[in-house]
Amino acid sequence: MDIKLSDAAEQYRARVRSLLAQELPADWRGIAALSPEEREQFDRTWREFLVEQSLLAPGWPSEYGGGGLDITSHSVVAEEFARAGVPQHVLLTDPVGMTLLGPTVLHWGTEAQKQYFIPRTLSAEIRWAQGYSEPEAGSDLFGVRTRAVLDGDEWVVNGSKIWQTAGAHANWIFALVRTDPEAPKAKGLSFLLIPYDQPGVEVRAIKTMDGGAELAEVFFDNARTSADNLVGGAGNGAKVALTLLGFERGSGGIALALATKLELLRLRDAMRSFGVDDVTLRRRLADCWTSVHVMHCLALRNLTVAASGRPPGPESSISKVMMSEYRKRVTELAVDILGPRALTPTGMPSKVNLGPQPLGVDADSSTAWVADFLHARPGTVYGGSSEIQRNTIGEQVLGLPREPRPVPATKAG
Amino acid sequence: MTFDFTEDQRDFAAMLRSFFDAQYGPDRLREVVDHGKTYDPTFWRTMVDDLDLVGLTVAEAHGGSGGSTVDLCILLEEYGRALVTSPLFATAGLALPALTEAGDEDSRSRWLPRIASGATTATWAVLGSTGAPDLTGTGVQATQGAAGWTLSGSRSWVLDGATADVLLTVAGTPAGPGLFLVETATADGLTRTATDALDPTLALAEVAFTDTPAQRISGDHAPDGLRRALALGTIALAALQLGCLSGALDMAVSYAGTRVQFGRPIGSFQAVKHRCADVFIDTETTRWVVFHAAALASDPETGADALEEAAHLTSAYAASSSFRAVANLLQVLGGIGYTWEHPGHLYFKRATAAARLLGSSTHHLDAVSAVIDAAPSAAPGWGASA
Ligand SMILES: Cc1cc2nc3c(=O)[nH]c(=O)nc-3n(C[C@H](O)[C@H](O)[C@H](O)COP(=O)(O)OP(=O)(O)OC[C@H]3O[C@@H](n4cnc5c(N)ncnc54)[C@H](O)[C@@H]3O)c2cc1C
Repeated sequence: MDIKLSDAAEQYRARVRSLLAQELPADWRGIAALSPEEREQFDRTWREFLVEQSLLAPGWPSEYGGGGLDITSHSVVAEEFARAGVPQHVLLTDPVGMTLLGPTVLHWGTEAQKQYFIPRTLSAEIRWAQGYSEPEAGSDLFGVRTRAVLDGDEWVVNGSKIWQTAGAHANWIFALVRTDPEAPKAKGLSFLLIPYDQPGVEVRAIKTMDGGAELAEVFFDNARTSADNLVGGAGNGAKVALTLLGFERGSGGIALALATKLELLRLRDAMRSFGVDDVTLRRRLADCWTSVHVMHCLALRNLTVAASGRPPGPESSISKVMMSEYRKRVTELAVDILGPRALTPTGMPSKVNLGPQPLGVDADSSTAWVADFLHARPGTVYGGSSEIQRNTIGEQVLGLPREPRPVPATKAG
Repeated sequence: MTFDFTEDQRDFAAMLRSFFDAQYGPDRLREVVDHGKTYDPTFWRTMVDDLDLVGLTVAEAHGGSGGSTVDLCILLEEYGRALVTSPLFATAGLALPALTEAGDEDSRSRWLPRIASGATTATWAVLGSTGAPDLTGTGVQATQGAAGWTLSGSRSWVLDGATADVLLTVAGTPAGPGLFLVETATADGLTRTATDALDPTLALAEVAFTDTPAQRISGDHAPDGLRRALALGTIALAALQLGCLSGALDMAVSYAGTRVQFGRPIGSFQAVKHRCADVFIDTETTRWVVFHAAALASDPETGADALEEAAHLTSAYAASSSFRAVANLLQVLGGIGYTWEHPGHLYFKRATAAARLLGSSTHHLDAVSAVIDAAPSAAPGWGASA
């Protein structure tokens, strides 16, 4: 039982550190400390730098512009970026492209699909939205109704998708669509890539409870896409969709645990700056610190499993539930520490919507803490809700009986 | 990095599982619980002679197997799961770390072989009168006279305190605290009173010292050594708690899969299924936290501060995760879980007791708070190390 990274991984860490030290200014305090104008400038050059260094997609094969790194080195990059307060993903659509679509095309795609989509995803010529959920198909993902019908060498798509993260910033969507309405529920689905830039696609932003509009709805009205843009074979969509959810597992966990620890130190600094010293709040903070340690241990374990090449076990469900429930707990603690300051948010705005703020955010910005408090709520809903994760663990890991499915009404007579 | 068990360690765990299943089944457990038997010397000899379990972590030079803390935690998980009553935990989990980490060379070569051979059982009376570990020796005073050291004072909640052949405790001296050893069979001025215990599988006692002859066994490295020893004991206790989680998980899942109500197994109802899933999450997370701490403890480069921090974090988590799990277990069991007959309550009581044996969870959380207070503010680390 060895919990230390290999010497090779530590040498690689030293390389990443010196690379960052060269690239970042001497007075660097973290991305979140930049003014909006500085940020715009930084983002542009930083993304170019990442592409140049093959670090935008560290785990993809180098022949397609990735870093060709094994999962442990990839994890080291993520960890050092979090420590330095620089983003791994720059555009709002980058996480979707780099962690979801890219690995899926690399795994399931044809050579032509890889050659076309991978470089364009890295260059941001193509920016992706994830089109799984629909108004009538949320947790019950395989109940999607959006239809695609082959017409010559094109698929014609009708229906709609909802809740696309960064959907208004994208220009392509990968969608789970029904290509065979006669087949049983999960068997009639396909994974289809559809460009926005056509009359049959309409995108509408959704205003969310934090006042922002990061989510979107996408409507298809006889939208068209080339027959070549179906990934993984017709009728194979459910399988492709499920492998997608398992990609990149393991590489981000240690970085996330570190970012979460840095967030707690910021919360401690906020307590100090507000002069809050209450034993109950202090113990809740210590309890959160304990949870962060648990997540760090889980991340090490996940990395071991992922690096061994074994198929993913129940780890991803456990980590998902732990982290999303934790985000609610820590942000509830934050607003309790804020006390009445939560009523009138002031100070530096939040910089990211998912997970802890990067380095550079003011500890006493109530605006940022309140935003995190709101952003934590949907964490237990998206990506498989806490209830769905518990069903999965109960049925697929513990072997408990499934719930009886409703019996379809038999036709009278 | 390979945060996983070796093939040998998996085999060891499987061997222990079948050994305890075969040798320490429900009947034997019931006998202990119903008749207040502290432990069965024949079973003790089997554990010691056939499997060398008590000497598992004792150096080979001292007659043990030279195993690591990871090996010990594997043993204690299975031992805890089987709810065994014996001097194993107090001896191997508490007294051995104290002797090994804080004892001087003389006492180590004198006592470790006897303990490893199973001839001598031992315990460490850790808690002070507030229920927090006492490493400063406030509860017991040591005085040096012409005939050697004597102890005066008392210790409560001493695991196996009424039966252990050798009793260790930290006592105050004018020159600071030291670790002392009392041979219980021959010591004058020693009163040991077995107490009723919430957990019938853990035997507790009150121990009073009145000018009781004792040997001073700690050397100059005692303060750090005692902190390390307590951290190791705390990690060992967490492995015992992990056993409680793992036992509660199997019991809850098997009951949920077989008990039928409304024409279907209760485990098909989400309210029940989700409780089982929560017990699973608590068990798996605790497992990797415990073995992370055990791996740190097995690494000679880990300093006392880091080990202590890991022990507080592990203990704080194991206390809450194991209690959540046993509470879920009792709810899943329905009425049968409230009976004396069904073993479910034994896990419930074990989790409750273990969360107090080496300090409460608030004690450990407050120690974590101190770590947070001392940590430097977050600043970009690309220039600095770690
Ligand atoms: C911030 C955010 C970002 C998102 N980003 C994307 C995206 O980029 N792309 C995309 O395709 N989708 C995205 N989603 C959609 C997300 O995946 C869905 O919201 C999620 O799958 C839940 O579906 P639903 O909202 O329809 O809720 P429902 O499925 O209707 O669930 C409502 C409630 O019922 C519970 N429930 C449902 N079924 C069961 C069951 N079988 N057992 C027990 N409880 C059950 C759920 O847990 C939940 O509490 C996003 C959602 C949010 C909030």
